[in-house]
Order: sequence, then C-alpha cells, then structure tokens
Amino acid sequence: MFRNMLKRSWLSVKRKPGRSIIIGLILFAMSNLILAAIVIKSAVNEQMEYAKESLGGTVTIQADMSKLREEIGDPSSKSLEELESSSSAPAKFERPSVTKSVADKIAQSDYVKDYTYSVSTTANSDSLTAIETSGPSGGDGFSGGGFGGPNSEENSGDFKISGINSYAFIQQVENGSMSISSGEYFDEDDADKCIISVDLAEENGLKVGDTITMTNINNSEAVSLTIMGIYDISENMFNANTIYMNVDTAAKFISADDYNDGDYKVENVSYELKNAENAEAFISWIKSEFPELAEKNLTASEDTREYDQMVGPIESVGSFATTILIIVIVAAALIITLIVMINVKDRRYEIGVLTSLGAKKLNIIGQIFLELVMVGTAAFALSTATSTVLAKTMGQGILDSQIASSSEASEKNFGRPSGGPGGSFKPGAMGGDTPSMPEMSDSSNRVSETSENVIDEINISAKPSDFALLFASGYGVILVALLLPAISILRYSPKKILQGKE
Amino acid sequence: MNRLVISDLEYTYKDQTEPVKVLKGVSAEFSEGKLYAIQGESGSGKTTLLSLLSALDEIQDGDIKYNNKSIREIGLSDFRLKYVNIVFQSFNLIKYMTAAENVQVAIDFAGRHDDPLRYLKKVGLDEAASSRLVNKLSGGQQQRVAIARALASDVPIIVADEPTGNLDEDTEAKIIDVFKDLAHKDKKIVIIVTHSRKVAEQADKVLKLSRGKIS
Repeated sequence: MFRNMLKRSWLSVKRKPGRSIIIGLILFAMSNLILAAIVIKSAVNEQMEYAKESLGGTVTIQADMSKLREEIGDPSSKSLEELESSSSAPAKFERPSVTKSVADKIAQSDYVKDYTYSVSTTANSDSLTAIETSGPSGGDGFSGGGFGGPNSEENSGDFKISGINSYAFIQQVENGSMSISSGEYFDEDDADKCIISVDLAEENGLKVGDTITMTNINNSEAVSLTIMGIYDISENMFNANTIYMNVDTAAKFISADDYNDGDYKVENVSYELKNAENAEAFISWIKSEFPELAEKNLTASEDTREYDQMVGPIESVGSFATTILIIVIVAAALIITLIVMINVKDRRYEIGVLTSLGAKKLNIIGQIFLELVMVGTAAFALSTATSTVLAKTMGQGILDSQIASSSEASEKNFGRPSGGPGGSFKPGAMGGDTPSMPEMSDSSNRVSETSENVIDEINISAKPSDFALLFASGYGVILVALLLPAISILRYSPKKILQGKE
Repeated sequence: MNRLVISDLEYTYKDQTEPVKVLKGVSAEFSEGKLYAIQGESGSGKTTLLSLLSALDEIQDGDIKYNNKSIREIGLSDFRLKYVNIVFQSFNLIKYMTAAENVQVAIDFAGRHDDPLRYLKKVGLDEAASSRLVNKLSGGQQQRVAIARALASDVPIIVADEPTGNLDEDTEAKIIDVFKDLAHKDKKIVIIVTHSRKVAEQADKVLKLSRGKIS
C-alpha cells in the first residue's frame, strides 16, 4: 500500500510542478523562520550555560545585620556605619570582620575560582603636604565604612591608605572615573609601591619613580613607597589624599595589634565561584567549616547581580525566541493549513475518484501527506543552508542588543556589576594573572568588553538536533494542516465529494 | 452464481427546500453474465439508484445484498474496493496521470500485479494512447480508459452512468460491445443507466424507472 501511495504521490508532485513549487516556496520560507528561531533559542541556552560557567557566582562575607541589630537591641534599619556611631550601641561595639587567614582558607575551596579583599587605614607623612578637602573623606570605592574602616584608629592620619589586590579592583577604575595618567598600575606582587592622585603629585612636585615616606599613625614607623603611577579621577567628591597600594603594603600601616602577626582583618571579602549554581553549596560549606563566622555576626551570602545582569537579558532573548518560535509555528500552521486546504479542495475531484474506487481515507490522506513531505523535505533541506545564515544574522543582532543592554546596565550601575562596598573583581586577578586592560585610558570599556568576550565565544550555528527539530516540527505542522481539510472532505460520501466538484 | 438484490430501496433528498423522495421502494435482482439497462425520464432516480448500487452513497431505507450479504455489512468502502466499479459519464479519471497510470491505480487498489496495457488494449487503446495524459485523449478514448480501469479492478459488478452519452455512434457501438463482453464473456453483472435506445436494445434486461419505482 505504501509503495503505491508513494508512487501516486511522486506522480502528483512531478506532474503538477507549479503547485509543488508554490507549496515548496512557502514551506521553505516557513522553515527558514522556524529554524532561525530554533537556532537562536539554542544559542540563548548556550549563552546562559556559558554565562553560568564563565561568570560564576559571587559570594561575599559580610556583617549579619539582623543578628547585629538583635544583639545590640536596636531594631531599626540602620546601616553598619550608623550602628557604629549610634548612641544606642554598646560602647564596645565592634564591626564584624574576617581575618586574612580565614579569608584565605575559604578561598581554598574547590568551588572558588577567584577571590579578593581589601584593607584600609590612614597614615601621615612628614614630607608630604595633604590636599585640603571639604567633602567626605571616603569615596575610594571600597572603604566599606567611611574613612579608615575597621582598621582605622580614632586619630586618623592625613592620608588615606587603600590596599586592594589590584588596581583593576578599584571601583573608580571599573566605572571609568579613574585612570592612570602616567606610570603604571600596581598588582598584588608590587610590594611597597603605590599610586597617588594627580593633585597630590602636583601639590608635592612628585613624579613616577619618586619615593615617599609615610608614617604608621599607630607606631610612627616609617614606610617608604615608590610611586609607580599617578592617577587622575573625575569624581568631584573624591579624597585626593588617597594612596592606593596592594593589601600587604597597606597592612604595614595598621597597628601591631591589628596586624596580628600578619593575620590582620580584611574587608570586602568576595569569592567568585567556578559555577554560579554552586553558590548555595558553597555557602553551606562555609557555614559548616567556619562556624566562628556566625559567632562573629558574619554571614556568607550570594551576590548574583553580575550573573543576573548578564543572564537577565539573555533570558529575555530566550523567551523572545520561544515566543517567535511559537508565533512562527502557529503562523506556519495557519498558512500551510490554508495552502493545503486550497490544495485539498482543488483535489476534491481526485479524492472523489479515489474513494469511488474504494480507497481508504488513510490511503488518501497518506498520499497527500507524502506529497507534502516530499516537497517539504526538499524545502527543509534547502533551508538548513539558508536559515543558518539567517539565524547568524538574527543571532548577531540579538547578541549586539545583549551587549548593548549589558553595557547600559553596567553604566547605570557605575560599572560595578557585582556592587558591594569593595567593588567587583575580575577573574584571574588573585590567581596570579593580572587582568588585561586593553585601554588604560578608557577603562570604562572593560565591563562591556568582558561581556562581549563572554558572548563572542558562543557559537551561533545550527546543530543536527536543530535540524531534527525543524524536520519534526515541519512534518508535524504539515500533518496537522492536512488533517483538517482532508477530514472535512473525507467525511462525505464519494457521491457528495464528486458532486461538490461538479 | 453471483447475485445482487435490491429490496424496498427508498431515498429522499433532505437538503432541498422540501424533502424530495426519489426512490420509493425499488426492488430488483441482478445476476452475473447479464447486461442490464436502467431507463427512465430525467429525475426518475436513475443516478441515485446507481449511486446506491455502487455504494457511493449511504442507503437510507431498504437494503442491497450481494450474494445474500448486505453491503452495509460488507462495508461501503470494502464493497467499492472488492465488488463494484463504476464508469461515470464524465469519466472521472485522474487528470495528471496517463491512461496506463489511471488503470494502474485500480490494479494497485485491487492489490494485484498486472499490466495496465492488457486492459487498455482490450478496450481498443494502443500503447501510444496509453502513455498519454488522459486529458490529451478524446472523449471516446477517455471513456475506454474508464472502462479499462473498471476491468482492471477485476470486480464482479460493473455499473455505468450514461457511458455512451458523450460518444459518437461508432464509438458508442464499440463501447456497447465492450460492456456486452464484460457480461457475457467475463461473467460480470453489468448495469448501465442510459437514455440510449441502442444500449437498451443490446441489454439482456431493461428496467424502467418511473417516479421512483421500477415498472
């Protein structure tokens, strides 16, 4: 039976080339759109997977505010800084903090891809003249609690010492307001080196390569620092007396007690995970392995803002692609139904003849279905070549909009996707690889470029599974489109079908 | 001996403004090896009777039995496939197929392996005509193809609706001979609805249908 159906189908396709070509062209157009939508959806899934892998999640160690408030009996929603200065706080209120050794131990977890923390304090200098500032003394981007932070003494020095793992981690660098005007930027290996502001350099006639001597305000010990770079900053309220250096160098300016034989307190502890999905597991691991953190009113929490920022638009694109796919399939089903309906109605006479000869309904539907499958297979096969080009073009467009929206979101967030007092950090910085900075003078591009790099690595191409989905959905649409008109005709007796023709 | 019996057949067209009863208890018996002609004025119910005999339409009242088995029981589709074939006045051939391919369709439905040319030659069509698309053939040739298709289906009952209505006299005579051979030589039940006196004269039995009844 099948062979005979196939034979009649082939004759029909061959002897009615005009009809076959029209149906073929319509199926070709539809399959291009369907496949393009399938490929885009597939690419979006890849993007999301890739984002998970490449961005990972961020887990920060920070004060457990609800526990702190409960402990000090202040149910208000005051911040940590407000609590510190609040009159209702106990006299011995101490900002919860993590020691360097604990932060380093946590970083040894298999979940962790990279990590960062910072140290901030103040210092004096006999040889340097501080710039007079009228604004707030904070603003270095990672101080977390105003000038001095947890390691500050009540008697603050004239200069703010900011230790951070790398120049690239400075918030103002990320949001583009800070750049190196001369010299180089530092990284974690640059001991006893620093960068100072243009204003401070001009005020004191300093240049790159000069050595400045800063004094620890706790023990009056002098520390010599080599200026390896001079930064320029566009923020008005920024304290130009801020001197940046790596963490180990900054630790030389804290008190001996605070230094604690090298196990000093660090701030803004953040861990970037290898996979964002492991955030919960990592937090559980911290809780079980480091119960002392909870005792110190510290808590580990997930910071997924960067991941969400990256994935949010992709998810939108994904649902957009799904919507497009549904619309295209429904539209294709409607158009193909219409075409098939016209085709079937046009063949009412032939159907009548076949039924009068005793052909079963299934036999007739099978014949027309096979005809459409023949034409459809040719159209789908052709579309596998053309739709890949279409999908690439469309995919690139979506990719561009993805990059644009990511950049826009980053800019609105002042270039700090991960936020937090310490700013975000970039993979590799603490692992020994200095983050690449293609444009020193335009570091604001870095976030966008990083996003673009992530997305650029996604392969937008049709895979065999996409083709299989196209063929399956295509044949499905054809079958549905055929059944409606075929059944509407075949429910009549052969006489009525033939009379309808006449 | 194969027999086709119709009894108390009634049929009403209900989709008209007023229901029109065209068959009012028609009974008849048809046996193999005979050529039957059904005659009657227009509107007498000839074509309706033919549609019911060839199982192209549902029986409303009464019954049609083939060898004592109701065609309802056999199933209309199966009855069309295995027992009856109709030759239409308008030929009802599949236009995008050649003469041979049209005949091949009937052979395929019968589930046999046969050469369509054998049947086409039987009705006087040569190989050249057989390989042409049917809409390139003359009316007479198309009618022969329709008859060849009926022959190829190898069913015991052949019904024909005005098979010579569109043909010239010479061709009509040849077609009548084909039907006579089908009945007398191939031992089929051949029932022809016709206005033609010539066809009626050649029939073994003529049934007159008047106002929905066989007279």
